[in-house]
Amino acid sequence: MTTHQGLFDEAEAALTRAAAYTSRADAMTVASCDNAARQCDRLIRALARHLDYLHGQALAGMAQTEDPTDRGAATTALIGALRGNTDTQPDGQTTERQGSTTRAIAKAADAVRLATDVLATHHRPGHGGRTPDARPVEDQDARWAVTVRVADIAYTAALTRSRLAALPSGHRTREASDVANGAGLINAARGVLTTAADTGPGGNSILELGPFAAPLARTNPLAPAATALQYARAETHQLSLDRRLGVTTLRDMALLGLSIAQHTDAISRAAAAQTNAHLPDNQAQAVADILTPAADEARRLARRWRDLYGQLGSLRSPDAAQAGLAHAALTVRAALEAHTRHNSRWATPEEMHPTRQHMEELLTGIRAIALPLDEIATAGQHAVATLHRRGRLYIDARALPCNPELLHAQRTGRYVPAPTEHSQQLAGAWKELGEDSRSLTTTLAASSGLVGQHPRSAAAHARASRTQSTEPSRAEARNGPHSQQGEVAPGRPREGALVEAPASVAGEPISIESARQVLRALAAAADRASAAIAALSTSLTDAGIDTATLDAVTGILEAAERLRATANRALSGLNHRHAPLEDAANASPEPGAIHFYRP
Amino acid sequence: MPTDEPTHFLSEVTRRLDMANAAVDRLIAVDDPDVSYAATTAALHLHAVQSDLPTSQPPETAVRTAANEASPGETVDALNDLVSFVNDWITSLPTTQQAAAARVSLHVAEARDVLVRVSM
Repeated sequence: MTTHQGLFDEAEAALTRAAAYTSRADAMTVASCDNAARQCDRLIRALARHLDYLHGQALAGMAQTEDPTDRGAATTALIGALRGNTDTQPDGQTTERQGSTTRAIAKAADAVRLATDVLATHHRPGHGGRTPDARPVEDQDARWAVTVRVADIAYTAALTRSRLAALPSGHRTREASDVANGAGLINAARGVLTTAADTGPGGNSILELGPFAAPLARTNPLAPAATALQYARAETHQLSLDRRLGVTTLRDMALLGLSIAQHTDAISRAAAAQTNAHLPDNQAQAVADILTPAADEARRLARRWRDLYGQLGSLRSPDAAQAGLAHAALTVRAALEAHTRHNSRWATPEEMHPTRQHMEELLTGIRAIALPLDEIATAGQHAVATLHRRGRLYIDARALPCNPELLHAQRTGRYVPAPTEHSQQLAGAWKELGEDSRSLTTTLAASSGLVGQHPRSAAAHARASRTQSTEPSRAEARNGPHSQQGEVAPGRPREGALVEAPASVAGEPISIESARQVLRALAAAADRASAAIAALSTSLTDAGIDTATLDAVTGILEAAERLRATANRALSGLNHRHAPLEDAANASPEPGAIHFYRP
Repeated sequence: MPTDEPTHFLSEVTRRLDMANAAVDRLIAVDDPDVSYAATTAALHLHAVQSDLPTSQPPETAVRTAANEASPGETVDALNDLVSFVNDWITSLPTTQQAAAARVSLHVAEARDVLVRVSM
């Protein structure tokens, strides 16, 4: 899945390529320079829009706040400088077939614009989140991390534009460029990078965001159910934000939870029964030993969702009925039933899992679909507390113990405000359901390394944030000259030791953490190599070296970029596939090859 | 047959929906997994119609007269009655409001059908 970070990586890689192409001054015509400069301006406009979008109304508050770390001041200066640069030229059309430089910068601009669109699927500036995954966007530390990435790209973009203007063929660019604004942007970006070197790079939770989309591949049979569930999550989140979660909707949430738990039970139990048919003997029992308890747990959970639904039956709130969640729950059920039910009965294990591939896909799908159960429960818990606090939770007086003060209401079946202890008990029941739901997803995850895959999970998000927030920033990690002028942004040490990759000792199993370190080290080394090669390309150009040599150097640069991207993808894939199992293995050690997951 | 006054129909539809909801809720709680499962679907269909009703009643005046011992068959009968009633209601409405009422009828019919399948 495309993440915000992946798009920014793509923008940086494209811009690095553009910097190398730009160094080949003899290859650029006047029109090429002009077109490339226009794309630089487009990139800067995209960066300005991104920060405007991210910070929105919070910007005014930051400017007025005495922030001891100066992050707010640095951010404000950068946004001002980006806006200043966007005023210099209108969005122009390229005047001839685009060259390599123009294409690379245009790609960087497109990637940044896409990253803004990713944010837009979660967040509305000035109105808060529109999805339950939007919380990181409200986090100042996570916003700072994005600001640092923007500064990194803006710095390179401003330098690239300066270089284009300095080329012999860049006279039109020179005329159009506002030199003072360009210098201002370089200084503002430098300010952010310096502050990042002093105060840290911020959290990665926004960078880890992908578009708000179903967490399953479209080819998965349960993808329609996952998509409908995403709608249900968004609907619940929106109702919660607007304080419109009434008892009727809470009952629909309980029915949705009940439905998911029932189908998790059915799919897991049928898969456990089919392991002998589809898996090798040495795996079948191990998988069944995981799936059967998971099915039992799901069944217990379904009963608890059902009991909770019953408890809600005696409650009312004066909120208008919201049919959206009931419709979404019906869609989720219908999509699940297409694979789990025949007419009015549950499908047999043979019908549900006719092949190993189908079984793996259904298990992968139901793991993804069960993940938001705890989120639904937490939303219910908060909704009950809010309804009670606002005096909007009523109970059928007949459901309460005999009380002389409620005698008339209890005789006539009138509704009275729910007592505090009753509301607290109900909120507690939702909370416990959340805990039990998390337990179920952990149990299900234990089988993910053996049958099917585990979807991107909240645990993986958390792990990624934990591990990456302790890493040095990209700006800090990068060393060597970054531009053809040999400038190095503050916070980017010119030299630095390579991250030592822990080699696995022969005969000893490698751990997941050491595998992560190897991949991070590879990515960091490739990153530094890219910067060094870009500088080499510049020096060779200045020395008047031949085009064939420059082409060869550019080829090395592209290979280094590919290596970095591949290492990052491998790291992301490792976390994506194995972090949930790592969590499970460390939470409850079971016999088996769990040493792989030990730190 | 009630009066042809639309608001009276609405009040009666609301009352009967409430009864149907209570009956279906009881079916969700029964031990038979097939009945319970079908009742869950029926409950969602009944909940889905509620926003299509033009008004909702405050809790103090909500009608709670559900049958004490509903079975799938009895609930099907109640839902059949409700479908007929809603269809009468639709004909009493101005054309512009008939679409919403038709959705109510469809959902109630869906709820009835899932219960019919388990009670057969």
